[in-house]
This record gives sequence, C-alpha cells and structure tokens, in this order.
Amino acid sequence: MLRTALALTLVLGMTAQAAPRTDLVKAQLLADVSTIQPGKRFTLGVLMQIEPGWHIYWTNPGDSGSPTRIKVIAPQGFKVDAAQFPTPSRFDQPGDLVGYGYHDEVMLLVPVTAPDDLKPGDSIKFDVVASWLCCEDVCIPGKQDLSITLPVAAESAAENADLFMKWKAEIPVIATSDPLVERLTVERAQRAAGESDAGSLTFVIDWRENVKDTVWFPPTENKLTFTKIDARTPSQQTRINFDVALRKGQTIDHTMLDTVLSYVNQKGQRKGIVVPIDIRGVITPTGKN
Amino acid sequence: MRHYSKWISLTAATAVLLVAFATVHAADKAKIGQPAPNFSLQDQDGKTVNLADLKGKIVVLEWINPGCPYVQRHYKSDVNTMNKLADQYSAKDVVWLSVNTTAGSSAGANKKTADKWDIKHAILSDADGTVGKAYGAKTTPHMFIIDKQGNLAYAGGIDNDPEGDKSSDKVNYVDKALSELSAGQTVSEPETKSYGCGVKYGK
Repeated sequence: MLRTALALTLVLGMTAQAAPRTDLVKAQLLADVSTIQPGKRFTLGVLMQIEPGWHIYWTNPGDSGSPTRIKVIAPQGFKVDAAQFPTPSRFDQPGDLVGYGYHDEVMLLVPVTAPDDLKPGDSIKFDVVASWLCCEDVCIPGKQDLSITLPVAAESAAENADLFMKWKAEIPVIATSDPLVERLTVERAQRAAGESDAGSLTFVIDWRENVKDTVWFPPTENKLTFTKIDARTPSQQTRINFDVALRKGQTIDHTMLDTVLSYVNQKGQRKGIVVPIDIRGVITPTGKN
Repeated sequence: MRHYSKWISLTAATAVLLVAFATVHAADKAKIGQPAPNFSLQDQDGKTVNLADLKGKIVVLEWINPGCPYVQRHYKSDVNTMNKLADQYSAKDVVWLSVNTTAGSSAGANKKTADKWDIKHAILSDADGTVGKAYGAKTTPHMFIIDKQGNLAYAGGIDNDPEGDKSSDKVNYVDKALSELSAGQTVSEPETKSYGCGVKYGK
C-alpha cells in the first residue's frame, strides 16, 4: 500500500508542470575601488552565484545555449570596455553536444575609464543589466537589474581586493605573455578535397614545462563551424586538431581567430590562455562581414 | 539441404553487416546540396510520415521542444512564427513537419503540444534521436529545408534574432529560403547558425 502510494507520488511529481525557477542565478554588482578618480581606470564586476548542477554560458556557448550578457549604462564621458569573461569550462552532453560556460560561481569584469572632468564630491551611478540562460536538463532564461553608486574623489582605495585579484587571474592571457608557453605553430592546414573554405588544421603549443588537462575552446564565430576537435598534450606539447568550415553562402573578412586553451600547471592551478590561430590555409577571407 | 541453409545464413549475416555499415554512414550529418536523410516517423495521431513519399514537395523540418523558452517564444499567439509560415506556404507545395527529439517524448505528449499551441501540422516523434543525429540537429528550434529534388537546401536558425529583441535588420531565414525555393531559385543563404536550447538526446 505504502509502495503504491510512493510510486503514485513519484509519477504525479514527474508529470506536474514545475513553475519556472527564478532563483537559479543571483548576481551582485561590485567595484574594485572605493571612489572614482577623474581620468583613472577601475573595474566593475558582476559576481554570479549559480544553483549547483546548473550552468550559464561563455561568449561562445557551444552547440546550444546563449551567451551571458552584461549591459552597462554609464553617464556621458565614461569609457566602458567590453565585458571580460573568465576561462570557461566545457560540458559534454548526450548526442555529442558540447557547451562552454560556468557552474557554481563566476565574476564577469567590466573595465571602465573615468573622464578627466569629474568633480570630487559628485556621486556616479552605474546601471547594469545582466542576462543569461541557465540550463540543467531544462533551460530557464534570467535577467537582473543592478546598480552601484560611487563617489568621486581625488584619492581612492582598493575595494574587494581579494575577490577582484582572484577573478582577474581567471581571465585568459594572450599566449605569448604566458611564461610557460615556448612556441606556437600552425603545423598543418589542409583544404578538404573538392571543397572551398573547409578543411582541417593542426596547431601545436610547445611548453617550457609539463602541463595537463588541456581543453581547447573554439572562438565565437557564427560564420564558421568547428568539428572533430581533439586537443591532447603528450610530453610538453599540446596538439590541437580541428576541422573548420565556412557556412555555405557566408563570407568572412578575417582568418585570425582568438581561441582559448585551459590547462593545469605543475602547481595544480587551472590557467587560461588566448591562442590566436590563423586559418588562412583553409579559409579564404572575402569582403566585409 | 543443410549446406544450402548454411549459405543462406552466411548471406543473411553479411547482409546484416552491410546494412549496419550503411546505417553508420547514413548517420553522417546531412550536407547542403546532398540528398536529405530519409526517415519514417510517427506523428501525434499515430500516423506514419515517410520523407520519401514527400519527394516533389518542399519539406521544412522544425526541431521542437515545448519545454524550451526559445520554442515557446515562437509559438506565443501574438508571434506564432512557425504556424504562420506553415500556413503561408502551404499553398506553395511546402510541407511543414515539427520533429520532437526529446528523449522520453511520445505521440501522446506531441498531441498535447499540438492542442495547446493550435498546431495543424505533424509533430513527429524521434525519441531515440536517430533522425536528429542524421541531420545534426543541435538546438530547438533548428530548421532544415529539403527541396523538391530531395536535397538539403537550408540548415540553420529560424532567424537572426536569438533573443527576440532585434528592433531592426531582422531576417527570417526560413521565410527567405521558402520564398526563393517556391520561385524556383536557389537559396541565397543556405547555412546559418541555429540558436536555442540543446536538443535533449537520451544518455
């Protein structure tokens, strides 16, 4: 009797339409300074706590999903740079689908430059809209309006220093500035037989010491498809193989792509590098997008 | 007699192997300009729909998942993207088919969706994912158009507006492709990036 009741409850629970969850992502807006100094740069950070088991997406979300977006509304004169995204993780899903993004916690950074003509004593308000797609088995879009008000002063002090230091270190650095990277080479670029604007490449990274757990992330390029991605690191050399093709009927005006590679160093720390790969051996750039 | 039956068994075994091999090859993703993979799937009324029977028509395949917010947005009554296009082109030899490749889905569930969203076209059940994988369906929605010769003519997004917030420069790729195909022209933009939730293939 109890078993039947339990079974019935489970069945009913599974078929009942769950109300869409609004608590999956909680965002906060922070700054790395206590005051804004005229003419100086500072960083805004959107810290996002994600419900365990769920994820949100990188600028290239992968096969599905939607990139996390940060929109900053600043007063006139402020120069707001594009949001910087930490090195993502890769999720492998059934059906050979791949996603790139974040779980548990992530902070996106927005560098801002203040104009010279600010008056100490003034208050500056920044409005930010963070929007995302949060997925587990189902996907639920979300949005949060945030704001922060900072005073203008001649002097400033660091604020949330540990937090910003941690997340700034998570932003991928250009490979040529990583002391562990010795050499970057396009070893092979082969056009597919009978096809224009499609082929395969082998890109090699030689390291100064052993690294492991290398994961390659293709760039955010809607006109290109990346398939048969294989990145492995036998003895101090990462070999990245991938097929790339221009979608039929599309054109592209550049061939230098900003790809990302994550690796784990000998201290057990996970790092990310931006690996520029020129695919001109396979794809011919024509005209402006 | 015994020898003859052994020979038949060997032939049958080889035939099974060859068919298995052929099936693996047919599972390579469909390519623009190449014959679209054939399939035979059940719709929400239990009727079997065979792609091969539709040769001579323009066929639209729309990957659907009623639980996905991107699909829900297109089926909202004031937007009604898919139903409107299906209706608009039905007189021009266009057959619109929704395909549900959600693991665990069924004809019964598809019938509920059809009733809820006033869908007059077939929703095919591809719960084991075979057809989704043959076409390379990644998202819901993901759109494929097959021309009258049975070749794949379009693969990609329904439009260029993933978040539904474009106020200008909005392009409905499927409308454009159907307009070109029904006028006897080639599709000018055969491949675009699709957007939406991931297709929920089974583990």
